Amino acid sequence: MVSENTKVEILQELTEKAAALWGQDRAQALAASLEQTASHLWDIRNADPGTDTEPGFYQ
Amino acid sequence: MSQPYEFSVAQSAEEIRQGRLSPVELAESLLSRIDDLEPDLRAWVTIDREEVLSAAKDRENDLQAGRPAGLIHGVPVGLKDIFYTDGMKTTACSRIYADFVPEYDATCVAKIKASGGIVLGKAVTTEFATSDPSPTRNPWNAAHTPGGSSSGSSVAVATQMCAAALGSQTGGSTCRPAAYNGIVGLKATYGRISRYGVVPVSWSLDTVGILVRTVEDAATMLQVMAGHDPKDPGSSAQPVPDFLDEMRLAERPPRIGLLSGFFQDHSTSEVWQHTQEAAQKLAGAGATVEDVALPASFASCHSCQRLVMNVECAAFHQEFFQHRADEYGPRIRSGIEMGMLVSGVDYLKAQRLRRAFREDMTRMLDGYDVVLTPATPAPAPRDLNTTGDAAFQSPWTSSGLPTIVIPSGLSQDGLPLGIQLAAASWQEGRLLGAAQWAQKVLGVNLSPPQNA
Repeated sequence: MVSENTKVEILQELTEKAAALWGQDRAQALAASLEQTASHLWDIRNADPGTDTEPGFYQ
Repeated sequence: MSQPYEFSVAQSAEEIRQGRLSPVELAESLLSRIDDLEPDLRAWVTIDREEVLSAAKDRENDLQAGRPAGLIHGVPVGLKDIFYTDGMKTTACSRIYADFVPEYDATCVAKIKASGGIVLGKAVTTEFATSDPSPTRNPWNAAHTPGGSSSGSSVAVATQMCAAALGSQTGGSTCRPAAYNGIVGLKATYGRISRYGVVPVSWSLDTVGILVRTVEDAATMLQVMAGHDPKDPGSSAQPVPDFLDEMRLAERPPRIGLLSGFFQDHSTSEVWQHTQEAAQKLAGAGATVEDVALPASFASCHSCQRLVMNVECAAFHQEFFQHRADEYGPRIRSGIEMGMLVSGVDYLKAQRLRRAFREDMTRMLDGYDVVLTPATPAPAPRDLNTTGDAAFQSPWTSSGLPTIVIPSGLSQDGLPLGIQLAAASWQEGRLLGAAQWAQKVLGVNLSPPQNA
């Protein structure tokens, strides 16, 4: 299962959201965190838990 | 001659039971120890001296009246300042909770009291148990981080200001500071210990942690606190065995799976060599040690842990954050903001991946009593702007499996090194038995300069 979004596209989407919520300055200050989050999202979007796997909130 | 503050939980409880030590004498010894060390180490937020001595006197009266003594009767315990204490401030070392005084005890605090334990005080945590460093100092070298988020609890135990303290783990906040300070840290199976009355970071990850100096004490504290609590939806109804008995039964050469791959790649050469030497020593004493491969799902486990933690942290703080964002430290603030940006679909994908990961890790453990890794990628970093790297803890927190860290030596720089053991869910007895056996074989008992 491969995501159609590249990491760069995910980062762009997150940066736009951050700027809309908290302004350009804050989005810029969050650049490192946004990049890390984009990387995490890319990881999970490209992983496959199996169609039948429900979420397990409480282990 | 030993001072009372030097005693472990088991020794203290036994001395008190035998009438050779009074709870008041023990409490006074620990309070005096805190007076001596606290100015340099900054491990505590609140110590109510009168309350501690009054509780100790009550315990003494119980014994004199012949009332039955609990497992830790008369033993003072430190609490990370996220555990609710009836009538005592619980600040989470934050501006948001600075004046918060709970009207009830957390379930695990109530259980400690019911077993005869005494609340010694509230120990420093990083803000809201996340990653903005605390003012607590590493007793081994003040230029290095003590780790976090359970920094005060770990330092207090390492320096004999108490024999046991509670921490918590959402990423690596119990086992990592335990390793950095040369003590024992236990994170039980998710759901084993109630988190009712504990300020949350992330509901589906948070686990109460135990910080002590011996494996036996870890078993004792687990026995005191384990069990179902209907007030905590994550609490399990699994039966609670006698962990001390199980530990003793399992104290024999275990079947150990040695995890390399990610753990080798992310360790310094010194740490990896040290871990291999520890594994060889265990094998030499009769353990079966085999290399074991990590499942493919391991690749995304750190990302799942981080995303889930940020989203749930954002959900908990949403209302405060709307009006008081400037009152948060920089790291928790950015974590909350990152959590707000993650979609529901991605959050649920992360939770689905966690469930599959847990099943894969359980399968991986099949055929082994425990798996072994270095406790941390490196000793405590020489950097007070970090709490260190939780990469070796977060897979176990994310999967909910129990882990324990025990001290295993010193680095070339004179800082503690440790090994981490993990077992299948609900197999804490087996885990504790293997750790007890390993602790005896390795024969390492670390003590910072303050204890000389």
